[in-house]
Amino acid sequence: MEGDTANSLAREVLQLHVSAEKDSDIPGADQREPCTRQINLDNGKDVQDISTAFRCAASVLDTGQLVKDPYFTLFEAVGALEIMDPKMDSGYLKDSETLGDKFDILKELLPEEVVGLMDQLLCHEMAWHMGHPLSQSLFTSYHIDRLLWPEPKKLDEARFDRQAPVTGNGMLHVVFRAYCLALVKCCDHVHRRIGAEHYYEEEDFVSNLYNRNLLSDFDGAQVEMLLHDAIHFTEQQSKLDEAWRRAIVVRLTLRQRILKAMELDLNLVKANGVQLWRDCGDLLPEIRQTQTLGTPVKEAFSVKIQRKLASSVPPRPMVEIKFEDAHAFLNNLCRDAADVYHVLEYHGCSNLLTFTYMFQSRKPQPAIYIRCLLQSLLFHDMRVLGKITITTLIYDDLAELVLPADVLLDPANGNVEAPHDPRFQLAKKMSGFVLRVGDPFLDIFRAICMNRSRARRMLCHLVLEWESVQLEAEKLDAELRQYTGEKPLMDGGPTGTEIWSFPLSSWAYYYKLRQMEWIVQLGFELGIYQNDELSAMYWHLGHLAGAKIQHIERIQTFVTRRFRQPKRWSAKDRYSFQQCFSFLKVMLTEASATQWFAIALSKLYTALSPFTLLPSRPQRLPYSTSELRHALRMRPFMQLSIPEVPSYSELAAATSTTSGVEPSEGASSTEGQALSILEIADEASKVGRKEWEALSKFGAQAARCVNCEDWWRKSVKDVIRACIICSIAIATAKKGAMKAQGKPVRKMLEAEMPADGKSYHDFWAVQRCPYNTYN
Amino acid sequence: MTDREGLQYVQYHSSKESTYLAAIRQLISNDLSEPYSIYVYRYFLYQWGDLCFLALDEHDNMLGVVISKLEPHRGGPMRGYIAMLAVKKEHRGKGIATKLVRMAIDVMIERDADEIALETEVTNTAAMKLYERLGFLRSKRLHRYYLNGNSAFRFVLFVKENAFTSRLGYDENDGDEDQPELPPSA
Repeated sequence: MEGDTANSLAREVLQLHVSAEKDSDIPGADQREPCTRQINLDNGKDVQDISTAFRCAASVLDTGQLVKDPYFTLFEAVGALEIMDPKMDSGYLKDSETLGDKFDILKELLPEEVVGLMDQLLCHEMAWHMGHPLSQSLFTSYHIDRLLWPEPKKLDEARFDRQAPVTGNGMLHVVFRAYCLALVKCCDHVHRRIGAEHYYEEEDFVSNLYNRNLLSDFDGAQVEMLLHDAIHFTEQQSKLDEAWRRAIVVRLTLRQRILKAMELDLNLVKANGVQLWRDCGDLLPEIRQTQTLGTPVKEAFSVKIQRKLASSVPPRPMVEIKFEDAHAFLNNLCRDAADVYHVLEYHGCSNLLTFTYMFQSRKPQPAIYIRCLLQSLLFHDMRVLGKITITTLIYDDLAELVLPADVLLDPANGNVEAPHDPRFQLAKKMSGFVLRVGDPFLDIFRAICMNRSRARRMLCHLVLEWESVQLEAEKLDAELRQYTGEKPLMDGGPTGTEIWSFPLSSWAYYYKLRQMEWIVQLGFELGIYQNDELSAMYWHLGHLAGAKIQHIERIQTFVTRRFRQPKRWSAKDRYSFQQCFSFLKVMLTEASATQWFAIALSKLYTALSPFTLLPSRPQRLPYSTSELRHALRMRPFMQLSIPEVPSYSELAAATSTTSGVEPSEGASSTEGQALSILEIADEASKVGRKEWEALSKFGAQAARCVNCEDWWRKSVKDVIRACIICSIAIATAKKGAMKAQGKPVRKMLEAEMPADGKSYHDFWAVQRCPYNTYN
Repeated sequence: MTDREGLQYVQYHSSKESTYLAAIRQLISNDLSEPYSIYVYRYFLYQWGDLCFLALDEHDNMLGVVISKLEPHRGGPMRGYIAMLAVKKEHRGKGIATKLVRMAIDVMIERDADEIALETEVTNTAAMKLYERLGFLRSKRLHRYYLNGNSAFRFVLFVKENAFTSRLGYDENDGDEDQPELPPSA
């Protein structure tokens, strides 16, 4: 990994630095006599002094002339530091500035300081969880620094007094030490959990440890013992006021519980993960209530410690997270962690996808630790959820969508040993298929686990992979016919074209369409589309949903035909069919609901565009044409064979205020056209709302949301609310356009987009009702 | 070139480094918590000095600057990139930034650019408005792109008609491994 290279480089630099120090007694001596300086490196490598040659070569260059080989990239230019620039040079000392602070780490701690310090550390820990580097958070603590450096070889060496164990001062040496060590051990677990999964360095998390070790060689149980002793010690302090005692014990207990809940070996925690995290969350109210008992010790933290860390970045300020924010973050972390363990309840593949998707759509999105935990839970011990093979998962999904009770998925095929037997061939081809699609399929889950911006970007790449999957599956579908004996459907036309079911490629196409929908929908969520694009982008979403409807109906036709063929279906087979039909029905309802609502919004924005009620750009833009902007918007889909990307003219016609619209009677042409379009919008929004309501009536089993029903229902309900807002907006707009009678509509109506995060549903950007200020 | 307000707009040239570089750095680092090293400026100015424009007042004080580059993007389209844009606080809102950006874009188009890209902080409404009014679209959001934890939008402007042929597929040349064009600082 990139990080490793950087770390090893940093270590080398550090060693160089250390040995150079040994070498020169007088600081700056090397600057005075550069040419005669001997450089010895511990690693015994020969070093040549090139100063003279370098100076000679440099003397023929002009100031500012860049000597650059193709390998010197911008990235390296940005990585360069200028020595003696206080903003870049971490070793630079201003006048009278000292290298370190005079903080006495062995100073006896008052109980209120222990509470204060624990809460300060918690803030720093959460800052790290939020994505800030350790160097600007936890590693600014003198206490943590002392425990971790020089690196302790035994846990016993990780003490504040590194010389000799001191007796007494128990608040520091017993209580606070145990807390700090447990905190670091928690960080170790977080670091390793995240490091094992897919995440983006710097944007999700900064993994750099600056050549420190987070006690990774020591067993959590040892640290747990220390916590145990610390709790016991505190409880014995009879002279200590009960309130302090309780405040300290609850913090130690929380640490104990988090450490346990963060256990790396999922097999040890998965049976009771929900409870472990609920137990953590249960303590948080008390932590909050007792926060005021603490006195922060500001001087126990300093950015100057950064100078000791192996790092090539300039000194950066300490990240200050308010206690309330850190507390709220931890509260969400505990809640999300408890909830995420429900993923282990397997109710079929599409239910698993619903869970993953609903979980990741939470606001705020679960923290990176949780997102990586979800990835681990989804796939560990070489099994999905630690118990299901990828083959089973994909077969479950194929059965649910396209192949209920089908011979292609019959596990008995694998028992046939005679190569001439068609079932032997089926087993062989199908296992090849699973091998091919396993990764892209799991990648859909992975993509959803990313931060939302990345999820969209990743889907844009993944959808291209699914294009290939679909094309390959199409070939395979054709090959498989000779073994399944599939008979084509004849279309009723005079030519009598054969229509084949293409089950595997149908499955792939379905997922491709879903990804395309998500890409557009996430575009709305992330604020990618500007106001003047809403009408076109909702039209495009409706277009995609329309393609999905056609596709699901096609699948339905073939499944129904197979079900009706004269054959004795077993009860199990019938159940399988029933599952498939119910799934298709739900998906069809959802696609139709999406389509109608998207049309309604597209029409609403189209109708209102001439009145420029929403802040939008001028019609004519220098450097750009509508065609070029259309090309940019469609870029993610240009390489896909189907569904066909709408051409510019198609989209322009669909979102034009004039084409194909008869102005309503008695209105001026612009308002008249608007009214006609608003009529269509009104109709679409009514149908859309009905469809969303129909969707909300499905049971959890049918909707594939058994372990995430509340989230799913809330999401559907939020869309219904968005539909209602949309209907109101359409109605007021109609009224405004009707009453305008030649007066400017702008004076009649106002409109605004909800602020970020204030929509009822992130996928549905509905302008707040243009309220009528006419009367 | 001098405008009505008496501002001159000047194209940079490497021969002018000693006159302007210090002021350019000063102007740009005002907006940054962490300065770029001199190598970053030279990286751009040495290779694409003609894509850098300065706005100067009648006393030659620097009021604004744009720094950019133009090169084939990962073997694909010719991509112009606006790396830095800064205008002195008290002179904002007068169209100086727009003028500077347009001058840079004009040269990029002259030099056969297919597209132009840049990033802005999602909270920087003034900058977003500027680019949107020139025809840029937001193409993606970059999570926690800046040091301060803020996200960015990548803005893209296609300037050539051959969009459908030369730009098939999603950012083929812009994979996840893609490093930010200019590693951000803010």
